[in-house]
Amino acid sequence: MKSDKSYSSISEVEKALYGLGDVDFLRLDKITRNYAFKLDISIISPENLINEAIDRVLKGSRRWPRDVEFIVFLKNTIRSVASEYRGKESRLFRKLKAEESFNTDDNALNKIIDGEIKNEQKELYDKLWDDFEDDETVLEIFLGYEEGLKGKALRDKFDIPKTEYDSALRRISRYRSKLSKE
Amino acid sequence: MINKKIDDFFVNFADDLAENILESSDEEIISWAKENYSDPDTRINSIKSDIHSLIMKNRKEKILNPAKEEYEQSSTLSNLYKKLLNKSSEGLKDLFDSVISKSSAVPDKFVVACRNKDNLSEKDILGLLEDMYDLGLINEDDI
Repeated sequence: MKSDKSYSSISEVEKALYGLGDVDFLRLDKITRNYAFKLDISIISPENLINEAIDRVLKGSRRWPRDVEFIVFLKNTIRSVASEYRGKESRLFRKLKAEESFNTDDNALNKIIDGEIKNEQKELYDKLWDDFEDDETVLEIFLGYEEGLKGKALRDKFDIPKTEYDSALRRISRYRSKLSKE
Repeated sequence: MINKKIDDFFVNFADDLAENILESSDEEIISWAKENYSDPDTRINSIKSDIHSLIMKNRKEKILNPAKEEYEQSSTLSNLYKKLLNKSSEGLKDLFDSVISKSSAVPDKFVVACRNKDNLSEKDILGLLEDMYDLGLINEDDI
């Protein structure tokens, strides 16, 4: 367990926030949109997601470990808040579905709802594979994700040079930005 | 099994893209912003302004909350005094005696300091009861 001295104080967090440059703000914005992908805007918008993450940091409910770079810490916080809202979204979806259903068998109803959630995710998954069917590097990356790999471990497994990997990620990222606008 | 595979796929997908965003050059980030915003500067200023507002909001809350706590504490004390002042001199002495005799948690030094309790004035007893309240030896229900 880390001691209090291992974490930065709130005034240090404030200083770090005021010390961010213009490109850092855009970087955080892009990270937020990445984690907010397909997250219903009525649950939380990307703009509110970044504010919520920073508010938690300023309140001290998420503490900045001294050995972690500030922007990496903010990225982790955004990831965690987004994941929490995904859970909320799923619970709300289940509640709405249960309310509009006449099925009184909870187990059967949960199976139907699980199926609907998974179908939506599966459609997106299939679409990604279909739309990149001619892009060998991207397909290798997708295979790696399925195997629980990412980053260097994934590059090593499929022997993908770093520059090629980065270009493939840019293609995926651009494609996903387009999907977000659909 | 297929669900686990798809779940892993999306989690690793988002994490890998986030890592890549951290590693991207400033030029790449600016280029992404230009593709996604008609005026990236407006977005930058909006984030800056939101962060400044959040910092100010949290500072204000920190200033206001201790004041609130102090106020709540002082109003509890005044209630305590009201209750104590409603008691007769005998009632105050009885309360004081009962507290120091019944509580095994009363520190020895505290008892020694009150050895001559028969000579204590009403004001002294009020002061001592207030100290006992601060020390958590009595609460309002005891009065």
